[in-house]
Amino acid sequence: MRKYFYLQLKRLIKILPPLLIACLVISLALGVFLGGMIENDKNDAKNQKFKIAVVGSTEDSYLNMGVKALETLDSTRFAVEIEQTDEVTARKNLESGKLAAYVVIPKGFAEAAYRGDIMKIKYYTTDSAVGVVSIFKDEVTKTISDILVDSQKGVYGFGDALQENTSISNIGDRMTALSLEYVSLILKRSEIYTVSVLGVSSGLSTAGYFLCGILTLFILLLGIVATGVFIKKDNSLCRVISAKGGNALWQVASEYLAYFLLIFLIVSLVLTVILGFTDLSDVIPDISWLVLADIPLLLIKLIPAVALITALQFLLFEISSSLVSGVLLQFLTAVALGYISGCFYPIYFFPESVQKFSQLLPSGIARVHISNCISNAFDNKLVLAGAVYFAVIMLITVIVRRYRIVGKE
Amino acid sequence: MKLEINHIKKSFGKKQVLRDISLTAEKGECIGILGANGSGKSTLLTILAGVQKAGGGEFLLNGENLFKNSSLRSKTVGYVPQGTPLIDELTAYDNLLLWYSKKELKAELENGILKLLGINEFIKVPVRKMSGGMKKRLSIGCAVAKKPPVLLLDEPTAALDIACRQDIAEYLKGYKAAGGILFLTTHDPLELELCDRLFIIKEGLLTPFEFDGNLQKLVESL
Repeated sequence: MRKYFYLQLKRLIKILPPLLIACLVISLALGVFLGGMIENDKNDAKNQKFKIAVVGSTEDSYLNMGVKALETLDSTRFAVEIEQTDEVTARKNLESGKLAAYVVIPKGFAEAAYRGDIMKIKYYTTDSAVGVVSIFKDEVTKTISDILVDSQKGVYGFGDALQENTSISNIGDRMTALSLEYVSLILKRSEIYTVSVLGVSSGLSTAGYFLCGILTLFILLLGIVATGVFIKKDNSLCRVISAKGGNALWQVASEYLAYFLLIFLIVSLVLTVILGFTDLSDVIPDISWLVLADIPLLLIKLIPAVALITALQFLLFEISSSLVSGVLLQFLTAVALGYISGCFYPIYFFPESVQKFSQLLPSGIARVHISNCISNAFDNKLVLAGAVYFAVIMLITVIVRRYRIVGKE
Repeated sequence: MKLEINHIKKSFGKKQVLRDISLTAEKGECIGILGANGSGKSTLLTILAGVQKAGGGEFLLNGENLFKNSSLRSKTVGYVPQGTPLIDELTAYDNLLLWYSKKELKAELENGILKLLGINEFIKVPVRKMSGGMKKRLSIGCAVAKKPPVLLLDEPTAALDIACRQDIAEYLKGYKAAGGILFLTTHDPLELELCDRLFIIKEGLLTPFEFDGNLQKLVESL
């Protein structure tokens, strides 16, 4: 019955062009979706930076240096973005919501500081509802004021002390370097916020997580394009093959293997193009380790995930009796499983119970496995769980096929 | 060559579809099996073909029990079910390759059974583009690969036009004349003429029937 397998392959090759076109459409749609999700995530990150304007005279080098240090040394995610502008523009931007607050450095602030006097820096913020964010904004703005004042006091005082009491050359340059270090240390030790990278799976960045989720969803949706080929409206061929010794197990194995090879080929083509011939490492840093030569091994590692999803799809083909019901079943299953398995949103957005349930689903196992492959990790237990799942699904498929063979029309 | 069917039984759950089916057939005979819808005609053929197991009984060909020798059965029994046992996306040639080697296929197309069935006229046509008659001829062509001495046909000319029925009837006559044994289930008067003996399945039992052309009598017997 090897002939039956070869004929299944031949059959799929004949319909490959329209299948590839359908896959291209799905790839493009999901690609746009992925791009949107990553962009949305970046914008969220940007929006979490509190924009504060500094108004007033920063002609003094130290003051200017302090402000510049805040602008350039901030390497944390939830940071303050500082811009220098005039008061009219700052007020306008505050009222329109473009700024969280602005601080006004009064004229003569630097001179007063030299004399040891401190002039108050005024900060202006919106009269919004008192919530955690508003309080945080206030705290950050207050901290900026304090940092500016305190750092300038320290810098000025220390610089003056050095000039008066030492004969060190290039004090100005050294003071600048020291002040930058000082401000940097202050920012790093800030108690106002702590920064933690979102806990996405397998140590991936958010963009990397989305990539794996969308890839899982892509494979789930591929079942739709092959429905017309694998739905059985007529069981007579199954019966004739069975009469000639090709039992249900053999039939399912031959047809499934041909289907798996088709889907694996499509996934390989898409991934090779995306990972091998486009440079997305800026957007998705998790794939920066991948070069073209790494892709074949990556594809081999992805086999368990592809096998698990295609086994599920094949079972759905087997239990469908018409093209319409088959397509609907594939689509709804793909969307439902994709959603619960964290393909649309990071899984940690869901309650703990849903997260645990997701790990029990074939799509959940597949997504985690794909994430492990992208992050170069490998979980043997997960692969074993997937293999057990695969065996159970195929067993059910064989039973359904057996029923089709011996059952009444 | 002698074929014997002895006391075949089959139940689906509590429903006994075939209670005690027995008959014999000789070389060159065509046995017609009639019955109402759901009477068990197709079930009997699927059991004889080896698609499903009988609940009891024997199926002997020259004394060899084909129920216990699936290898011999698959070589000696050809089966043409209802429906289209073909792969739609492939051509007639590809479908035949499932049952013939390339060498055998070439020989049969040039001067054998497949030429007799007229399959060489549409050998490169995909199944989805074939007419009903072409599909049925191709199905028969697939079933008679390896030249089985016994051919089981389940309503072979259902949904075909008169010309196609005539063609297939002619082929089956030739098959019979060559010494094959035919079992066919039918409702078609043209096929009834082909049959040497007729049986009616009713309430799980097989009863001989003499058809004298009176369809009314036939309907009442069912």
